[in-house]
Amino acid sequence: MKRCAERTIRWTALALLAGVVTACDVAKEHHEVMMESLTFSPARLTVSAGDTVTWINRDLVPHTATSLRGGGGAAPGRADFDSNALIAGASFSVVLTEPGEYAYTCAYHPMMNGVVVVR
Amino acid sequence: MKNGRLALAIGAAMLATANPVSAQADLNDLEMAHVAVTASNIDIAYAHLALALSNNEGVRVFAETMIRDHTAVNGAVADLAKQLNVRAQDNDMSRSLLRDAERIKNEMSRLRGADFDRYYAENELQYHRTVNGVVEDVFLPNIENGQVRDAFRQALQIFRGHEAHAVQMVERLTELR
Repeated sequence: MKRCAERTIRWTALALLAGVVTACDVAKEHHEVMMESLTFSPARLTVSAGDTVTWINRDLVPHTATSLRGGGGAAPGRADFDSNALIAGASFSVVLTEPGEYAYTCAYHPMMNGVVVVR
Repeated sequence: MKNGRLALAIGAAMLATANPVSAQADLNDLEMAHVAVTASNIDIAYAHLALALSNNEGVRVFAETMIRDHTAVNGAVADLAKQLNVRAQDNDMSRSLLRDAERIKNEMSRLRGADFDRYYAENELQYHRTVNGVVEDVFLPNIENGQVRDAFRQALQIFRGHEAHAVQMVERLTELR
């Protein structure tokens, strides 16, 4: 009886471990937003919590991806982010872990606006 | 790069926003590139004047963007010229633009406060409208080298954005009146 209980515990532990591994295996996606012709493309992007979003500047002129939530800072997972100046060809990545809508702009070109929706 | 020439009747009002003067230009690709770089340098000079004289945040942000963007575009033009082993060629239109810009800078530098801001903003809007029109309607259809044409196309998209930004700046200043 005791041996059976031990076996049950062992299998349960293994199953739990397997579950954890499975959860860890769920690949976080990587999304790209192009800064091109003074627009963000796509201008609206929906991602899952924990996904990575990368902005790539394909224009001749510098741009930023600056969260309108304020505060600045480029710490991964933070609700507020700011790429600072991205020259032509440069990129900036952020991992957004908190669900919500992240409206952002280019600090240099106020006509450039985008939203990342994190589910 | 081919040196085929074309006769272009273009208003030198490209820059002479307050006093348009008609001019005849006969430009090849290298001369058009020179005009574009000259026009960018003039806008950079206007922006430096704005940073020296304006306390309006919107005007200052716009001016900083003009310096940043036009410097980047001129850098791209220089890189392309180096790659093609050519040099932009000075011409009558570039010289005409510079003369008009001197007059406008003199006028602007005598203004202060809201008067300066309004002049600068309205001049930027008209300047970009005029230059963008010339690039789109006159230069682009006549540029012979494909790489030069692509560079002009890309720059035009940036300058259209400046035009929209200038509209916004003028509207905000009008609201302050």
